[in-house]
Amino acid sequence: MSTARAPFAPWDRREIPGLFGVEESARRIGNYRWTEMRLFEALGGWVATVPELDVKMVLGRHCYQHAWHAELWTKRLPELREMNVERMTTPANDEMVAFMDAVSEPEAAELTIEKLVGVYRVLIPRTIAAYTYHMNGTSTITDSPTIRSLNFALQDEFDNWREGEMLIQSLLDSPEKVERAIRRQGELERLITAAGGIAGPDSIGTQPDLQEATI
Amino acid sequence: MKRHLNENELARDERFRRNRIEDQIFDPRNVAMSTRDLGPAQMSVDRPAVSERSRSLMHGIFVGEIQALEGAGRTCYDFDDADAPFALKLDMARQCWDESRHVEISCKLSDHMGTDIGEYGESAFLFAAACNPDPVMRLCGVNRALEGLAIDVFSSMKTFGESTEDPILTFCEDWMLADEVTHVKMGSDWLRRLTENDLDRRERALDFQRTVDKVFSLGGFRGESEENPIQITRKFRELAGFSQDECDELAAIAQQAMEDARTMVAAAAASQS
Amino acid sequence: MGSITVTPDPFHLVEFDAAVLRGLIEEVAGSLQIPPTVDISLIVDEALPHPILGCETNLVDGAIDLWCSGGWFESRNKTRAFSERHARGVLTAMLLRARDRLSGGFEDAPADGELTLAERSAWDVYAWGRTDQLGHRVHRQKRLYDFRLQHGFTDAADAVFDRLWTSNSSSWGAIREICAETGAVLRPKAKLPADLLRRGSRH
Repeated sequence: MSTARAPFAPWDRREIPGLFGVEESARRIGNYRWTEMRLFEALGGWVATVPELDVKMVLGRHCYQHAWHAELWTKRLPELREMNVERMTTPANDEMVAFMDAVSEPEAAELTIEKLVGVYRVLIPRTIAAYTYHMNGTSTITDSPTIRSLNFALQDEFDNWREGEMLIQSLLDSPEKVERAIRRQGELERLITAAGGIAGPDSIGTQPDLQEATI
Repeated sequence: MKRHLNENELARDERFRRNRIEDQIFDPRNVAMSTRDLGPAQMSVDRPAVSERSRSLMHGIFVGEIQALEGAGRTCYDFDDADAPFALKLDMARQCWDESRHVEISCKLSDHMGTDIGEYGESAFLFAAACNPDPVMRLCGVNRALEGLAIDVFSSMKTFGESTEDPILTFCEDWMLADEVTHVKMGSDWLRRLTENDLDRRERALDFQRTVDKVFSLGGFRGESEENPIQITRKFRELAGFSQDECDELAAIAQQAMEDARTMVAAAAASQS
Repeated sequence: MGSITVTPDPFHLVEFDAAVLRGLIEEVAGSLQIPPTVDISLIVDEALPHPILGCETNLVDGAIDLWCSGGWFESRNKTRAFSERHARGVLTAMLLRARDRLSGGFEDAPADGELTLAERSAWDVYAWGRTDQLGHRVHRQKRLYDFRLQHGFTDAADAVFDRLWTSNSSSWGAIREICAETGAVLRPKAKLPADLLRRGSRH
């Protein structure tokens, strides 16, 4: 007979419940999938429109990584009682649609800075934020399959963010180009702020109302 | 960003130079060249100008990889989900990454062989096969015809690398060859799946592939005889889902392309004399 | 004064100018201190485009006999157009080999058509290395790959290449020793004549 042990080791601090129920987790994942799909499609489309060879190759690589994230969410949604994956694959709101349309709008060969700034200075930081909030807030026991996928995706997102940011820095070789990058980032920040983030207004949670009176 | 780019819209930096088809067709040296003994068609170490010709071929592979990357990327973007299911786009995105690596490998190989980017002209007829507005046709053009050509080219280059004991070339071609077999298989599988209930569409797609295969045979560049620099590689094509009959048909198409080219050259020579 | 002839004159298939080529030969030969009394003839096979590159340098009855494919002089940016940079570079390498044959330690070397591919490749590295030292932008890696094809992709071959590339003094005997050092002499004999391209242009 072996000695009885507690079901959780002393260092295992995982908890229930979490911030999200099954439906809320599925809703967010549907938003993530929609965003990752629009992103990988745009990256794939841009490959032929950027003349810079190094950027072209990086976009080709990142295109697959975001498609793979969409695939992770494709597999996770049915596990959350959402058998119709396409039905749940929706933007968080109309403002998010407007934002993604604006991100993928640049086409001309001379607009590489605008393309990269949209993805790597605005969209991917917002994606990292939403994924991190989900990972930190959801139950580490009941939703651990989502956490595992978030971890995989976040690893790529951080790597892509760094790589994209370095490409942007290497392209910003004049005050005019710096201005273009700032202008583009400002335009898109306004749009994503209106959307509230890739999963809507609660993408990274809301601040508690500290003014509430106590008796 | 609009959907569907044509081959004239591909973005390149200033090093790249596009071959003008009229320059190639109306080059007055063609007729004289066709009567010359330039040595064996296949690459070997004692072939005249072997190093420069292998550099030229390598550069052609390099720009072909760029166009394959662009073609796969455009397939992710050009179609909505109804025309191209997510699983197909996922495969194309994966192909994008593979082609991106192939461009990287080609750049390293070019360094190894002493080729500068843009040193040779670029023809965009490979991307033209990736412009079809029907995703099934595009898959046949890109994955079965273009990537099929890549199997033949990489296999021939690998053989050349082995014969010259060039460890870098042999290593790189072997890896790229593995990817291309995957891409052709992907094309074969998707062709079957997307046309499962529409055999007319499948036949149209295969017709388009035959057309592209003939163009890609480049008037004798590819075939199964000693006169063809690039050999049809049946072993790898069968791994990639080609039947024996399809390999036979491709060999016949390539042979026809070579005979057509000879007829054209003879006609040109007759008109010049 | 020796004569300088360029054939064909005029060119029919490419946009080259024989007078420009004659001027270049005169200038390069002068800078290499080739005796001005030596006749120089250049035959350009204008039917052979880039990348079908071949060239030969021989002495015939004391005169310098040059042959090359038109592709050597062809612009990389425009089909059939002339590139002075490429022409100047290759003419320098060819005339350096002519000077070697006249009085530079290669007096006993066989004609180009009789050299093995390995011997020719080693001599070319010696010529291109000196061309580079004269200020022409010669692509070292290109020449290294060409050399490796004939002498092997080995550290030993690369070390020999480095020696040849930086050398200012060599000889036919040294080239033969190099072929023994890299093991090139043990390789199977080429099945094709080394001057196959030139033979084609004679017909």
